[in-house]
Amino acid sequence: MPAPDPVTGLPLSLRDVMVAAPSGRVLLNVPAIDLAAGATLAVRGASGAGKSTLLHVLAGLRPVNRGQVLWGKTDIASLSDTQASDFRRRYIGQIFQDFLLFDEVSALENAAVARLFSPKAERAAILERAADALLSLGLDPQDPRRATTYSGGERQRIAVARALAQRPAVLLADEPTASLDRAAADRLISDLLAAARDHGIGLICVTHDDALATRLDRVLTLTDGVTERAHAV
Amino acid sequence: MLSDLWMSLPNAAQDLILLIGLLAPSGLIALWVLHGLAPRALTQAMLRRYAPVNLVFVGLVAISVALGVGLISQERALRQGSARAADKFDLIVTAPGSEVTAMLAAVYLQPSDLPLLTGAQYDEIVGAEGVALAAPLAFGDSWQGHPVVGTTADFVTHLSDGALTGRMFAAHQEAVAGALAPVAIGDHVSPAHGAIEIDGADEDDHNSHGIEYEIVGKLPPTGSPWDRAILVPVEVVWELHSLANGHDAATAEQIGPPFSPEHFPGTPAVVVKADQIFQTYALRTEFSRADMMAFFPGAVLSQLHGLAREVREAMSLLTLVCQVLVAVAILSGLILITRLFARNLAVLRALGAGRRFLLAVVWGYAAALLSFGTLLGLGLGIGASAWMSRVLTARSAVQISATPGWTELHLTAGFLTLALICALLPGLLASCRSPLTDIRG
Repeated sequence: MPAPDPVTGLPLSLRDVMVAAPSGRVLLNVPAIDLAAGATLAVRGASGAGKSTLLHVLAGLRPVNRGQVLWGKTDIASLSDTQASDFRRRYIGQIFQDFLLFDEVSALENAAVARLFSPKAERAAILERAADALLSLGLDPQDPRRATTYSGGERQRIAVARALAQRPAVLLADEPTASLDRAAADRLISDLLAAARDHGIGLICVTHDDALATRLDRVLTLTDGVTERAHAV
Repeated sequence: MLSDLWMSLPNAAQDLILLIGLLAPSGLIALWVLHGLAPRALTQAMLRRYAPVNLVFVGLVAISVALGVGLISQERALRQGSARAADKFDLIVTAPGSEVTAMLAAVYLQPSDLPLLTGAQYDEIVGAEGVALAAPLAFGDSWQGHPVVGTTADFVTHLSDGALTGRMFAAHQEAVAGALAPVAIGDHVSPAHGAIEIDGADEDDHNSHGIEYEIVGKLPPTGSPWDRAILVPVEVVWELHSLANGHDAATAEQIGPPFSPEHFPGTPAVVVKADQIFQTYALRTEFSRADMMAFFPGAVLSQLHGLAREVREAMSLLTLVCQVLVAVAILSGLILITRLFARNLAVLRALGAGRRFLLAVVWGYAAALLSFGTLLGLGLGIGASAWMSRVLTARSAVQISATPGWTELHLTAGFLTLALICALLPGLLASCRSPLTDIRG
């Protein structure tokens, strides 16, 4: 199977999305969000405001009770588990607060982890992109050290390389700078923005970090799961 | 039709097909779980992360498999070794008593107190139709723990299949040594009364008969306790015990048959070989009567093996229970360990891995532990059984050689396949967990 065509971003449209807990409590209630392909968005809000729930809905990891989550023309909320997994693999890169790397393998093996569950025809390209991403983020892809030996900032850059190696249309980042010191956080912000700009990738960050939020195109604030405002910075 | 085809196959082909059949489900599962995926790097990462715990799992599997393999191969080796040792003893005739005791004395040279057959009875045996060999045995002496057995040259020839090194004893103070007796041709040995276990020391003066035998020949290995024995003319043993030597005054210096019934002091056992196999059955019937007892050592062994089989089956059941318990413990452990990888596995789901990939990673991890443990256990079982065979051979001189057999391979393959099927459980549990819960940690 040939590798899919390069993706340079997908527009996002949320329509009347509602997510409720089993108890009935509304976790997320979004009448509408629209984001152009390649645009960047900061999601802010107090703890428990529904930021992570929104991110999970966008990734197709959490089912919605109502509404549409359209990436381009694909409503990820209506996909089956297998289809949603495949969509994530093709179009969505994810970065987590705690990096969540495999400690026992090298930076390159971590960055290229998607090749393990991708079709054989795509594996070589993923490995190549992982090496390129590591290099562009200032890491040596040939370094055989285990991931656990890297500093926090380096580990998060490995996580970014992992996300970029999938050649995603959009990056979803959950508090990507929260575990880093200021210097490492600033470098990561620059790296993330550069990667998004260079590859035409959309970037949606849940963050409390003003330094990051202020550098993104728009900021969306959530209060008790409800969209408060979305505005251009 | 299929049954006929199956029965027409050679045993080895049947065993091979059965082995493939037992392993085939493992291959099919591996194919189903792994096809199109490459989880090896992550499986290796899981193996490395908790290496000590993984080694314990492998050790537990190996020990449980080794117990089963060792038990089966050792039991078979004992059975084959004891049967091989009795090969040269078609029929034994003794005074009435215990067949088992008589067999242990005559075939395995175990010290025992057997009643004697008289000269007239021996003469009747020798004269019976179809008797090709009727060798009297005389026990009671030893040299440095090695039994010194009195018998006839014909029996020594029968034991050696004519492949004697040196020559047959031809005089009163000459002897032929078994292959494992620590003497060479030309050596002299001084026997003592009784089965005294003296290793390398001089015989007790009080028990010594005060004579020396010169070793003039050596038997080839027979795989029986006779390999440790020193065989001497039966007449000399009788004489040393102050008995008549089987010959009248005119032939007093004669070695070997014919014996004079009047001067025959008695023998605890006569080893009989018939001209034809069917005659052996007739001879057994003829001498199975009130004043004599005739038996096939092979039949007695078969009865003993039957008893041993029941013991083996009980032990096999215990081993199976042990293996099941180990498998349950390991599966529980694997499920727990897999929970420790929950965040990593959830990340894979978030990155786009399907449930089958998670199943492949976890199953591959479990399969690696179980397969390695099983193979190690197979090797350990075979090794332990071989070691135990050497010890038993050294102690009993019955040649016991445990070699890997199809039964062990079938049982091991069956266990592995069952274990690999069960290993799907932790994989399925891991793949069905919600990544949302685990990703937060």
